[in-house]
Amino acid sequence: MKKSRLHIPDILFVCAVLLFLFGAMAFTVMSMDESYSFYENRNLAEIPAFTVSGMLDGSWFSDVETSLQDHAAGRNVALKIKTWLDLRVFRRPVVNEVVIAEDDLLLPWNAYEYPCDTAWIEEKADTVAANLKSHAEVTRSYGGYFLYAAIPCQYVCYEDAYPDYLNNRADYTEKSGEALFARLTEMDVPYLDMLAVYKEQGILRSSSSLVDNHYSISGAFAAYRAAVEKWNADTGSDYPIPDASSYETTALPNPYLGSRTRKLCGLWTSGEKLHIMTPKENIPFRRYENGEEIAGTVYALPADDTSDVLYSLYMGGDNRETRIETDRENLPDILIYGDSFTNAMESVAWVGFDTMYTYDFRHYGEKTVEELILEYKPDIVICVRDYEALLLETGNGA
Amino acid sequence: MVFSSTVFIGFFLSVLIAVYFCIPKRFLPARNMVLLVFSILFYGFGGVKYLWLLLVSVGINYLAGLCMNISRPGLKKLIFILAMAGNLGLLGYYKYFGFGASIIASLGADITVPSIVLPIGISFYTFQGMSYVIDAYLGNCKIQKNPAYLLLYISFFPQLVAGPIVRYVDVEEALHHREHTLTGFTDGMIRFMLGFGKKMLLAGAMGEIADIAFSAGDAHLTAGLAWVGAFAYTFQIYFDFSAYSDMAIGLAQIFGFHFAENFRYPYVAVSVTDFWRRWHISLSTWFRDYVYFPLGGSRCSTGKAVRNLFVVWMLTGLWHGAEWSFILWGVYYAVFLILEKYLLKNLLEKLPKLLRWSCTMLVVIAAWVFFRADNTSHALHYLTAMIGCNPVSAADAAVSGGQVVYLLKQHWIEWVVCIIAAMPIVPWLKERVQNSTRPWCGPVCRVLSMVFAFGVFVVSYIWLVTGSFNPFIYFQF
Repeated sequence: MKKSRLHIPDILFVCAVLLFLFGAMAFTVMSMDESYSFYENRNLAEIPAFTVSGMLDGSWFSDVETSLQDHAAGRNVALKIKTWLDLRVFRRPVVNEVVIAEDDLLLPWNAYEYPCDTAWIEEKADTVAANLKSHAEVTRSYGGYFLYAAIPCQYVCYEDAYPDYLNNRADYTEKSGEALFARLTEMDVPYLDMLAVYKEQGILRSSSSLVDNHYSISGAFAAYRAAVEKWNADTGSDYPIPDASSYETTALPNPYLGSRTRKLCGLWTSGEKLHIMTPKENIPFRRYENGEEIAGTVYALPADDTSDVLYSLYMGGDNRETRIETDRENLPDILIYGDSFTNAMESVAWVGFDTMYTYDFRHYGEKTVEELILEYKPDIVICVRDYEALLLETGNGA
Repeated sequence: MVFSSTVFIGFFLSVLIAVYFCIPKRFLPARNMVLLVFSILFYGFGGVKYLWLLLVSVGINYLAGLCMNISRPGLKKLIFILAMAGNLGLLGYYKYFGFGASIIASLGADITVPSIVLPIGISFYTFQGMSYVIDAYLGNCKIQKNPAYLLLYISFFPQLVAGPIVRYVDVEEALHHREHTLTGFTDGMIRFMLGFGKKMLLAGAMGEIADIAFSAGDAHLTAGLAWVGAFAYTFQIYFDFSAYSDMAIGLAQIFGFHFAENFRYPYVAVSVTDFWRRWHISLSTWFRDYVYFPLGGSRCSTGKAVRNLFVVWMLTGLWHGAEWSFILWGVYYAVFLILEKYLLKNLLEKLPKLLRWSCTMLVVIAAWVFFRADNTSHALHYLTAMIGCNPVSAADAAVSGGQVVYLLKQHWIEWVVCIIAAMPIVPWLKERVQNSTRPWCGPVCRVLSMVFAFGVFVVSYIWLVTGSFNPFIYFQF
C-alpha cells in the first residue's frame, strides 16, 4: 500500500505531462487553418511546400518549425499571458516594443541610435526634396498648388515623456526636419511643418493619440486647416478656411484599440476615445475604391458600442486608390497622397472639395504621382508624410 | 532539430514517447530500433544531406571495432591508426580545411579558401566514435557486433548534436539491458523541463543582451556596455549549454539511459582548475583520458607536463572552432592552469575564498570574450573597452549609458534568476532533505519539484511559441 501511495504524485505528474504534450500536438494540428494574428497584425507563416532541395539542406524543416511556432496550440493565449506577466509581474519598461510611459501613455520603443550621421541626412534630404520639387513643378505646370505636409507622429509629440535612458529620437527628428525643410526652401517647394504649427497652437500633445502612432481627428483637422491657410497665403486666393464649428464632433463610446494597445494584446485599458467629425450640412457624395463605387461613408463605424475601434475607423483603413465626388463644381479638386496619416485627414477634407483623389503608394503602383497629377490636374496636391518617414523613399515614404 | 522547438515539444517527443512505451518492455531491441529511427529523423531535420557523413563515421568506427578482435597486434594497431585518421580526416576536412587554407593563403600562397559548411554535431559524434574505437583497442569494452546498436550509441538524439560526449563504456550495458521505471521517467522529465526553462527563460534573454554589446561598434563600446555584455554572455553560455546537457540527461533517463553530469555549478569555482572540473566535464575528461594521460599527463618532468597541458588546451580550443581566437582561448587557459599548478598554488591557497572566486571569475569572463568575439582583434578590442581604455565621445557614451540602464532594467528578473540559478542551491536543498529527520520532507519536496518543473515548462512553452526561432550555441562546434 505504502509503495503505491508514493507513486501517486508520479502518476499524476506523468499524466499531466502527457496531456500537455499530446494536447499541444492536437491543438496545433487543429489550428493550422488560421492565417492571421490579430494582435501582431500579420499573416501567420504557412506550411511550406515540400521541396527535395529544402529537405536536403534543412531549410524545409526550418520553415516547418517557423510555421508550427506560428500555429502552436494556445499561441494567442500564450501571447496574452506573456504580455500580462511582462506588464504586471515583471513590470518591464518595454513590453512587446511598447514603452510604458506615465499617464496611460504608450509609446513606440526606438532602437538605440548613436548621434546622427549628418552627411547621410543631408544626402537623403537632397534626394527627397528633389523628388518633391519635381512633383511641385508638374503641379505648377498647369496652375495647381503643391504642398508638402510633415506631420509629427506620436513619439515626436511626446518626446519628453520618454524615460531618460530610452531613445526618443529627438536628435534625428530635429536634424532630419531641419535638413529637409532647408532643402525644400532652397528648391521653392511649399511645405507645412505641423510640428511647429501644433506647438504654436499649444495642441502638440492633444493632436496625437496616447496609444497609437497617428494623430487624432482634431490633429488631422488642424493639419487640413493649416494647409488651406498656407494655400491661401502662398497664392493670394481666398478659399474658405474650414471651421470646426461646421462639423459635428462625436466621441465614439467604444474602447479605442490603438496600435500600441493592440501590441499589448488589448490588456492595457486607456480612457482615450476616437472621435469622428461629420459636416453639419448634408453633403451627398459618392465614394469609389479602385474605381468601384462603394458605400458612401468615410468612417468604418463599429456594429455596436462595445467592440474595439481602431485607427482604421477613418476611411476604413489604408486604401490604394480612393475618389470622393460631391458634384459641387464650384469647389476645387484635391489630390492627397501619403501613408496612413492621410486617412484621418481625408475623413474631414473631402467636405471642402468637388472631387478628392487619394493614393497610397505603398499599395498603388500602376501610375506615378506625376502621371496622376497631370491626369487629374487637381487645384491642390498635398503630400502627407509623418516625421518618421521624412527621409524615406520606400515604405511609408513611397 | 533543437529541443527548444515546437516540432520537438509538440510532435517529436510526444510521438516518440507514445511509440516507444507502447512496445512491451521485453522487446528491448524493438524499443532500441524506435530510438534509432527517431534519432535519425532528429538529425535529418537539420538537413538530410549531412546524414551520410554520420553514417560513414559510424561505418568507419563499426568496422574498426570489429577488427579490434584480431590477434595480430601490428595489424590491429594499423587499423586503429587508420580509424583515427578516418575520424580526424572527416572532422579535419569539414571543420579545419578552410581554416588551414586561409592560413596558407595569408602566407602568400595563391590558393582559393574553400567555404565548407560544418555539419551539425560533427565534433560531438566524431569524438564519441573515437572513444569507442580507442576503448575497444585498449580492451576496455566489448566489441559491438550489431551495427544498429553502434549507430544508436553515436546517433542517440539526446546527445547527438551538442553533447554531452558519452563514452561507449557508459552506455554499453544499457543498450542491452536497462530498466524503465516510473520514477526514472518522472525524474528524467523534471530534468528535461528545468533544462528547457533554463534555455528559454534565461539563456535567450542573456543572449539578446550579449548580442547587443558584442555588436556595438568600436566607437560606441563603453566599459559599462562591455561589462554588461560580458556578464550576459557568461550567463548565456552556461545556461544555454548546461540547459542542453540537462535536457539530454533528462531525455536519456526517460528512455532508461544514464548519462554522467556535464556541469557542476562552474561559476562557484575558486580556481581555474576547479572551473574545468565543473565545466563541460565530458569534454575535459575525454581530452584527459585520450590525450593528456597518453602523453604522460603530469607524471613526468615539469617541462613535459607543461607541454602536455599546452597540447591538450590548444586542441581543446581548436575543437571548439577553427579560429585563432579559439586557439588563443585554449592557450589562455593553459597558461592559467600552469600558473596555478606550478607557480601560484601555495599563494592561492592562502587567499580568502571570496578573492579566489573573484579572480577565477575574472579569468573566466575574459576568456568568454575570446569565445564570443567575431575574431581575435574584436576580442582584444572588447577587452580594451572592458578596462576602460576604448575612447568614446561624450555623446556616444551618453547613448551607451542609456542602453546599459535599459538592458539592466528590462531584464532585471533574468539577471536575478541567473545569479540565483548559477549557485548550487538545488544540491544544498537535496542534501538538507536527505538529512531531514521528518518523514514527510522527502515526498513533499518531490511533489513540489514536480509542480515547480511543470510550471517552468509551461512558462517556457509560452516563451517558445511567442518568441522567434532560437538555436543553441553549441550547435556550431
